[in-house]
Amino acid sequence: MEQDNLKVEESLNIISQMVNTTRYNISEDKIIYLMWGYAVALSAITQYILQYQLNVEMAWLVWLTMPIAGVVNGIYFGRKKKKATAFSFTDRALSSLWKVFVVALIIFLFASPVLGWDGIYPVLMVLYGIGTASTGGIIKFKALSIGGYVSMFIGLVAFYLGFEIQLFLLALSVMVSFIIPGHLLPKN
Amino acid sequence: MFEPLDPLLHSQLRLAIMSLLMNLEEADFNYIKEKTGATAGNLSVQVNKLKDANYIKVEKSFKDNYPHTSCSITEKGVDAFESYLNALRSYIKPTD
Repeated sequence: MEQDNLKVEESLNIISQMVNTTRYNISEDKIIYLMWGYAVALSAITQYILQYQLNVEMAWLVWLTMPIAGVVNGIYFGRKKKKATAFSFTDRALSSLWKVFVVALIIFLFASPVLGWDGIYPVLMVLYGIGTASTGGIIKFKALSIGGYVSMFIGLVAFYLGFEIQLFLLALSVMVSFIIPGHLLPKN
Repeated sequence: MFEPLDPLLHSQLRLAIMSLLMNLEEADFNYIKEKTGATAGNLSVQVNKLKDANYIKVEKSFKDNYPHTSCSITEKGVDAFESYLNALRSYIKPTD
Protein backbone atom coordinates (compact mmCIF):
# COMPACT_ATOMS: atom_id res chain seq x y z
CA MET A 1 0.00 0.00 0.00
CA GLU A 2 2.87 2.38 0.78
CA GLN A 3 3.74 4.31 -2.31
CA ASP A 4 5.75 7.49 -2.25
CA ASN A 5 5.88 8.34 -5.94
CA LEU A 6 2.21 9.19 -6.37
CA LYS A 7 1.14 11.06 -9.45
CA VAL A 8 -0.92 14.22 -8.99
CA GLU A 9 -3.98 12.54 -10.53
CA GLU A 10 -3.62 9.62 -8.14
CA SER A 11 -3.50 11.98 -5.17
CA LEU A 12 -6.64 13.73 -6.35
CA ASN A 13 -8.39 10.39 -6.88
CA ILE A 14 -7.56 9.24 -3.35
CA ILE A 15 -8.85 12.51 -1.87
CA SER A 16 -12.03 12.33 -3.94
CA GLN A 17 -12.66 8.65 -3.08
CA MET A 18 -12.22 9.24 0.64
CA VAL A 19 -14.44 12.34 0.61
CA ASN A 20 -17.16 10.30 -1.10
CA THR A 21 -17.00 7.53 1.50
CA THR A 22 -17.62 10.01 4.32
CA ARG A 23 -20.67 11.55 2.65
CA TYR A 24 -23.66 11.60 4.98
CA ASN A 25 -26.21 8.93 4.13
CA ILE A 26 -29.63 10.16 5.22
CA SER A 27 -31.28 7.13 3.59
CA GLU A 28 -30.32 5.23 6.74
CA ASP A 29 -32.90 7.34 8.60
CA LYS A 30 -35.68 6.96 6.03
CA ILE A 31 -37.73 4.81 8.41
CA ILE A 32 -37.60 7.49 11.14
CA TYR A 33 -38.89 10.24 8.83
CA LEU A 34 -41.71 7.97 7.70
CA MET A 35 -42.52 6.86 11.25
CA TRP A 36 -42.89 10.44 12.54
CA GLY A 37 -44.72 11.60 9.45
CA TYR A 38 -47.31 8.82 9.50
CA ALA A 39 -47.66 8.88 13.32
CA VAL A 40 -48.46 12.61 13.36
CA ALA A 41 -50.67 12.54 10.23
CA LEU A 42 -52.72 9.53 11.39
CA SER A 43 -53.03 10.91 14.93
CA ALA A 44 -54.29 14.26 13.62
CA ILE A 45 -56.86 12.64 11.32
CA THR A 46 -57.93 10.20 14.06
CA GLN A 47 -58.38 13.11 16.49
CA TYR A 48 -60.58 14.86 13.91
CA ILE A 49 -62.76 11.77 13.42
CA LEU A 50 -63.07 11.06 17.16
CA GLN A 51 -63.66 14.68 18.18
CA TYR A 52 -65.81 16.05 15.36
CA GLN A 53 -67.50 12.98 13.86
CA LEU A 54 -67.94 10.71 16.88
CA ASN A 55 -67.98 13.39 19.62
CA VAL A 56 -65.49 11.54 21.78
CA GLU A 57 -64.46 13.82 24.65
CA MET A 58 -60.91 12.72 25.25
CA ALA A 59 -59.98 12.51 21.58
CA TRP A 60 -56.63 14.15 22.32
CA LEU A 61 -55.53 10.85 23.88
CA VAL A 62 -54.56 9.74 20.36
CA TRP A 63 -51.42 11.82 20.87
CA LEU A 64 -50.14 9.16 23.24
CA THR A 65 -48.70 7.80 19.99
CA MET A 66 -46.02 10.49 20.32
CA PRO A 67 -44.24 9.19 23.46
CA ILE A 68 -44.36 5.70 21.91
CA ALA A 69 -42.76 7.01 18.70
CA GLY A 70 -40.31 8.92 20.93
CA VAL A 71 -39.21 5.68 22.62
CA VAL A 72 -38.75 3.95 19.22
CA ASN A 73 -36.79 7.01 18.05
CA GLY A 74 -34.60 6.91 21.18
CA ILE A 75 -33.85 3.18 20.79
CA TYR A 76 -33.07 3.63 17.07
CA PHE A 77 -30.60 6.50 17.57
CA GLY A 78 -29.16 4.92 20.72
CA ARG A 79 -28.28 1.77 18.76
CA LYS A 80 -27.03 3.81 15.81
CA LYS A 81 -24.73 5.81 18.08
CA LYS A 82 -23.42 2.64 19.72
CA LYS A 83 -22.64 1.09 16.34
CA ALA A 84 -21.16 4.28 14.86
CA THR A 85 -17.49 4.06 14.02
CA ALA A 86 -17.13 7.62 12.77
CA PHE A 87 -18.68 10.95 13.67
CA SER A 88 -18.92 13.67 11.05
CA PHE A 89 -19.57 17.41 11.23
CA THR A 90 -22.93 16.74 9.56
CA ASP A 91 -23.80 14.24 12.33
CA ARG A 92 -23.09 16.92 14.92
CA ALA A 93 -25.04 19.61 13.06
CA LEU A 94 -28.11 17.38 12.66
CA SER A 95 -27.92 16.04 16.20
CA SER A 96 -27.78 19.62 17.62
CA LEU A 97 -30.58 20.80 15.36
CA TRP A 98 -33.00 18.01 16.33
CA LYS A 99 -32.16 18.31 20.03
CA VAL A 100 -33.04 22.01 19.84
CA PHE A 101 -36.20 21.08 17.94
CA VAL A 102 -37.33 18.65 20.68
CA VAL A 103 -36.64 21.20 23.44
CA ALA A 104 -38.58 23.91 21.57
CA LEU A 105 -41.44 21.46 20.96
CA ILE A 106 -41.63 20.57 24.66
CA ILE A 107 -41.56 24.28 25.64
CA PHE A 108 -44.49 25.01 23.34
CA LEU A 109 -46.41 21.97 24.63
CA PHE A 110 -45.99 23.26 28.19
CA ALA A 111 -47.16 26.67 26.97
CA SER A 112 -50.36 25.16 25.55
CA PRO A 113 -52.60 26.14 28.52
CA VAL A 114 -51.66 29.77 27.86
CA LEU A 115 -51.69 29.74 24.06
CA GLY A 116 -54.55 27.27 23.57
CA TRP A 117 -54.32 24.26 21.25
CA ASP A 118 -55.41 26.30 18.24
CA GLY A 119 -52.40 28.51 18.94
CA ILE A 120 -50.03 25.57 19.40
CA TYR A 121 -50.78 23.43 16.34
CA PRO A 122 -49.69 26.13 13.85
CA VAL A 123 -46.51 26.61 15.92
CA LEU A 124 -45.84 22.86 15.61
CA MET A 125 -46.23 23.09 11.82
CA VAL A 126 -43.68 25.92 11.72
CA LEU A 127 -41.37 23.90 14.00
CA TYR A 128 -41.62 20.80 11.77
CA GLY A 129 -40.77 23.07 8.88
CA ILE A 130 -37.73 24.54 10.63
CA GLY A 131 -36.44 21.03 11.44
CA THR A 132 -36.86 19.57 7.99
CA ALA A 133 -35.92 22.66 5.95
CA SER A 134 -32.71 23.03 7.98
CA THR A 135 -31.91 19.32 7.63
CA GLY A 136 -32.54 19.56 3.88
CA GLY A 137 -30.17 22.54 3.69
CA ILE A 138 -27.43 20.80 5.69
CA ILE A 139 -27.50 17.58 3.68
CA LYS A 140 -28.51 19.22 0.38
CA PHE A 141 -31.74 17.29 -0.07
CA LYS A 142 -34.20 19.53 -1.86
CA ALA A 143 -37.38 17.58 -1.08
CA LEU A 144 -36.82 18.11 2.66
CA SER A 145 -36.00 21.80 2.20
CA ILE A 146 -39.04 22.50 0.03
CA GLY A 147 -41.30 20.39 2.28
CA GLY A 148 -40.03 22.30 5.31
CA TYR A 149 -40.74 25.73 3.82
CA VAL A 150 -44.19 24.60 2.66
CA SER A 151 -44.91 23.26 6.15
CA MET A 152 -44.00 26.65 7.64
CA PHE A 153 -46.33 28.38 5.18
CA ILE A 154 -49.13 25.94 6.09
CA GLY A 155 -48.46 26.90 9.72
CA LEU A 156 -48.95 30.57 8.86
CA VAL A 157 -52.30 29.81 7.18
CA ALA A 158 -53.32 27.63 10.14
CA PHE A 159 -52.97 30.56 12.57
CA TYR A 160 -55.99 32.13 10.85
CA LEU A 161 -58.19 29.03 10.76
CA GLY A 162 -60.19 27.06 13.33
CA PHE A 163 -58.97 24.02 15.24
CA GLU A 164 -61.01 21.59 13.13
CA ILE A 165 -59.23 22.67 9.94
CA GLN A 166 -55.90 22.87 11.77
CA LEU A 167 -56.04 19.10 12.34
CA PHE A 168 -56.10 18.56 8.57
CA LEU A 169 -53.42 21.17 8.03
CA LEU A 170 -51.21 19.46 10.61
CA ALA A 171 -51.55 16.19 8.67
CA LEU A 172 -50.80 18.09 5.46
CA SER A 173 -47.74 19.78 6.97
CA VAL A 174 -46.14 16.47 8.01
CA MET A 175 -47.08 14.97 4.68
CA VAL A 176 -45.04 17.58 2.81
CA SER A 177 -42.21 17.83 5.35
CA PHE A 178 -41.76 14.20 6.44
CA ILE A 179 -43.80 11.67 4.47
CA ILE A 180 -43.15 12.77 0.86
CA PRO A 181 -39.41 13.50 1.39
CA GLY A 182 -39.17 10.22 3.36
CA HIS A 183 -40.54 8.26 0.42
CA LEU A 184 -38.31 10.17 -2.00
CA LEU A 185 -35.18 9.14 -0.08
CA PRO A 186 -33.42 6.34 -1.92
CA LYS A 187 -33.43 2.93 -0.29
CA ASN A 188 -30.39 2.40 1.91
CA MET B 1 6.63 26.86 -10.55
CA PHE B 2 5.96 23.54 -8.80
CA GLU B 3 5.62 23.70 -5.04
CA PRO B 4 7.17 20.86 -3.04
CA LEU B 5 4.69 18.22 -1.84
CA ASP B 6 4.76 17.30 1.83
CA PRO B 7 6.39 13.82 1.79
CA LEU B 8 4.35 12.81 4.82
CA LEU B 9 1.13 13.32 2.91
CA HIS B 10 2.38 12.31 -0.52
CA SER B 11 1.82 8.63 0.16
CA GLN B 12 -1.26 6.64 -0.77
CA LEU B 13 -2.36 5.42 2.64
CA ARG B 14 -1.40 8.49 4.69
CA LEU B 15 -3.17 10.74 2.20
CA ALA B 16 -6.26 8.51 2.38
CA ILE B 17 -6.25 8.67 6.20
CA MET B 18 -5.92 12.45 6.19
CA SER B 19 -8.63 12.86 3.51
CA LEU B 20 -11.03 10.78 5.61
CA LEU B 21 -10.28 12.67 8.79
CA MET B 22 -10.65 16.05 7.07
CA ASN B 23 -14.36 15.21 6.73
CA LEU B 24 -14.92 13.65 10.13
CA GLU B 25 -14.70 14.84 13.70
CA GLU B 26 -13.37 11.46 14.68
CA ALA B 27 -13.15 7.96 13.29
CA ASP B 28 -12.41 4.51 14.71
CA PHE B 29 -9.26 2.70 13.66
CA ASN B 30 -11.50 -0.05 12.22
CA TYR B 31 -13.53 2.47 10.21
CA ILE B 32 -10.34 3.83 8.63
CA LYS B 33 -9.14 0.28 8.00
CA GLU B 34 -12.41 -0.60 6.24
CA LYS B 35 -12.55 2.56 4.13
CA THR B 36 -8.90 2.48 3.05
CA GLY B 37 -8.70 -1.29 2.61
CA ALA B 38 -5.34 -1.29 4.42
CA THR B 39 -4.04 -4.05 6.66
CA ALA B 40 -4.10 -3.37 10.40
CA GLY B 41 -0.31 -3.52 10.59
CA ASN B 42 0.35 -1.06 7.78
CA LEU B 43 -2.39 1.26 8.96
CA SER B 44 -0.98 1.25 12.46
CA VAL B 45 2.48 2.24 11.17
CA GLN B 46 1.11 5.08 9.02
CA VAL B 47 -1.21 6.33 11.77
CA ASN B 48 1.78 6.52 14.11
CA LYS B 49 3.79 8.51 11.55
CA LEU B 50 0.95 11.02 11.25
CA LYS B 51 0.58 11.12 15.01
CA ASP B 52 4.30 11.71 15.54
CA ALA B 53 4.09 14.66 13.15
CA ASN B 54 1.12 15.98 15.20
CA TYR B 55 -1.09 15.82 12.12
CA ILE B 56 -3.58 13.59 13.90
CA LYS B 57 -4.58 12.85 17.47
CA VAL B 58 -5.00 9.22 18.54
CA GLU B 59 -7.04 8.35 21.59
CA LYS B 60 -7.15 4.86 23.07
CA SER B 61 -10.01 3.83 25.33
CA PHE B 62 -12.42 0.98 25.99
CA LYS B 63 -15.83 0.62 24.36
CA ASP B 64 -18.05 -2.24 25.60
CA ASN B 65 -14.97 -3.82 27.20
CA TYR B 66 -13.05 -3.84 23.91
CA PRO B 67 -10.02 -1.65 23.19
CA HIS B 68 -11.05 1.25 21.03
CA THR B 69 -8.80 3.59 19.07
CA SER B 70 -10.17 6.78 17.65
CA CYS B 71 -8.37 9.25 15.42
CA SER B 72 -9.05 12.89 14.68
CA ILE B 73 -7.21 15.52 12.70
CA THR B 74 -5.36 18.34 14.50
CA GLU B 75 -5.14 21.98 13.47
CA LYS B 76 -1.59 21.33 12.29
CA GLY B 77 -2.95 18.44 10.23
CA VAL B 78 -5.63 20.62 8.65
CA ASP B 79 -3.00 23.26 7.75
CA ALA B 80 -0.70 20.58 6.31
CA PHE B 81 -3.55 19.10 4.25
CA GLU B 82 -4.53 22.51 2.90
CA SER B 83 -0.92 23.29 2.01
CA TYR B 84 -0.69 19.92 0.27
CA LEU B 85 -3.81 20.72 -1.77
CA ASN B 86 -2.38 24.14 -2.71
CA ALA B 87 0.86 22.50 -3.77
CA LEU B 88 -1.11 19.98 -5.86
CA ARG B 89 -2.87 22.88 -7.58
CA SER B 90 0.46 24.25 -8.77
CA TYR B 91 0.95 20.97 -10.67
CA ILE B 92 -2.38 21.10 -12.46
CA LYS B 93 -2.50 24.84 -13.23
CA PRO B 94 -2.19 25.46 -16.94
CA THR B 95 1.17 27.06 -17.72
CA ASP B 96 1.14 30.42 -19.54
